[in-house]
Amino acid sequence: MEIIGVLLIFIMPYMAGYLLKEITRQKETNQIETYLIGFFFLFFVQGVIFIPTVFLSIPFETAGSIMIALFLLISVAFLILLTISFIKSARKKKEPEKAGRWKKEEEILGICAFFVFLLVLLRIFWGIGYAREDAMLETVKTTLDTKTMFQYHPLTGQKMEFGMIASKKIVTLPLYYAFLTSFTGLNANVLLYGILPVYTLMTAVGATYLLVSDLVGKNRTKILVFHILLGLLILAGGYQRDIVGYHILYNGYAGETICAVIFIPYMLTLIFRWYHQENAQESVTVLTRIRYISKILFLFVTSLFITGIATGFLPLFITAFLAGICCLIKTCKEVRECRE
Amino acid sequence: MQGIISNMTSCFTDTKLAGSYFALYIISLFLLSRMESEKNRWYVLYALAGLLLVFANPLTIFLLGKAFPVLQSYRPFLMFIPVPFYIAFAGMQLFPTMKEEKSKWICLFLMALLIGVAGDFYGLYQPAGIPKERVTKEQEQIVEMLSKRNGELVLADESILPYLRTQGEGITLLYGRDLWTPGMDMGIVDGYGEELTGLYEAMKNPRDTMKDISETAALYECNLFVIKNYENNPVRTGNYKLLLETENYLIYEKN
Repeated sequence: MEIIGVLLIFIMPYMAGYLLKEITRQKETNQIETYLIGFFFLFFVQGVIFIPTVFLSIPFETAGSIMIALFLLISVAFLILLTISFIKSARKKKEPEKAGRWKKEEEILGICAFFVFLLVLLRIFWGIGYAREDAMLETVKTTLDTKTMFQYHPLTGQKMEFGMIASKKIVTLPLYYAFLTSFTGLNANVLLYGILPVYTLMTAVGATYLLVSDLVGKNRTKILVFHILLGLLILAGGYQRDIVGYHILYNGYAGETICAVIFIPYMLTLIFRWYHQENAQESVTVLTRIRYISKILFLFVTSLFITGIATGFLPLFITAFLAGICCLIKTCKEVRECRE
Repeated sequence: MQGIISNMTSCFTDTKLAGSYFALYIISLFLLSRMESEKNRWYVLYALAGLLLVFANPLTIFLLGKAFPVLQSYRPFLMFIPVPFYIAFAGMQLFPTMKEEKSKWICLFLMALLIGVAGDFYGLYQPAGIPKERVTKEQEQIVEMLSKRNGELVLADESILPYLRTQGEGITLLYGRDLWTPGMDMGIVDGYGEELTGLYEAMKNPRDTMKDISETAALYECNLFVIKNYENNPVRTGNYKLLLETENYLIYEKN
């Protein structure tokens, strides 16, 4: 049962992303982007569900039931759509696309990348027993013990007299993790310090793959070298707080880590794509611009739900702002060069 | 002026090693600006804009630090520059420029070695404050014992306190570790007050403050308190009697 629960945690983002892709008729996204969209969607939806229940002091079990219903709905809808898609493609009898053969150099790099990935996983699991500075685990356990949300002090277990400020109550990530703990039946320590960092790491690999492949094209050698070096930076980066490696190894469950290694690369991918589309000769429709803006705003709002303003929304906003300025400067230079 | 300069270099002075990845990052920017400079200009521009507008700008740090205390150091900004991506990206661009097959692998090996030297594989060396405390067998036994006490109020020494709520089940504490780590930023309005702060200080040296500890614990209606073990510890103190003595801890229970 626990294994099924863990598998569902890893598969659910793809199911949600596939569903969204079908609903919004976005055919151009690849499988990794589908997974990422679903990943963001799940974090967004948990905020939408848990925030009103927190402010209305609704019991945790009720909110959990709503989440279970949502998961069920996503799973059923995904299976139906997948079945329809299979039937349609079977009728069309389309030839499957053949992937290019791997060169020897790429094979060796692929093995190295996989080996580095395994070392990072080993390091994450090796660090499970360490005490953490933040109160995420305490908040998760307190929520599960008391069946209430943000009403008991996580570090003492006593009922809070004055409660929490509203800007912290909207950060519902610990409640989502409490839900996942009860949903999977896993020990909260194992889920938070073992499973979720792996989940974050794998999704981060997907997000960085998307970013790098957009920057350098489908150059397998370059992409593999990038991921080998990034893996080594993570592996050796646990020496200091606020380095990305430290956060992936020790705080993979934290909202700020998810923002830094998944939200930010995807944000940059969106901005690059938008910039290149605007620069290309073909016209960019208003609908396309609205799509890009909606996705960026969606990332901003979701970041508020998982880590708040200072460590989520603000870095994302500054990233988008800086990237936007660079695009503007580059465009102005190119226009000037054209005129000359 | 001195304050501004020390702020700007705080990523190096906060802890020496914080500069090592930053140094690799600067080298990476230089390499990117030299290799296919036209194509890479975008990324170099972004990194420089980040440095100028945010990272190296004391005014921005001052303003952001006032609004968000967690941003009072430069180090969080290393996450959104983002430093490791630049290092990996520069390495990725450098790799195919090697003409010979052998040179490519030597280059990759040297980059890996450089990253390892700049960082710290497997946590062999870590500065103070990096989590490296694991729960001991003794602490696990105490946590298990306290978990069976059905939510009775416990006062505990700071060395075992973090594990009581994370490893234990249903243990209620008089105060949590946010008493001495005020930067936890949980947004909880409830405070602890001076009496509990005084109690926390007294707990550091129970040999001299045992009477104060037991009186204050009784005042707050604690059923149990866990302190560091010391020689000639009393079997009874105030309303409490010794329940369990381990190698490093004493557990007292209310009569």
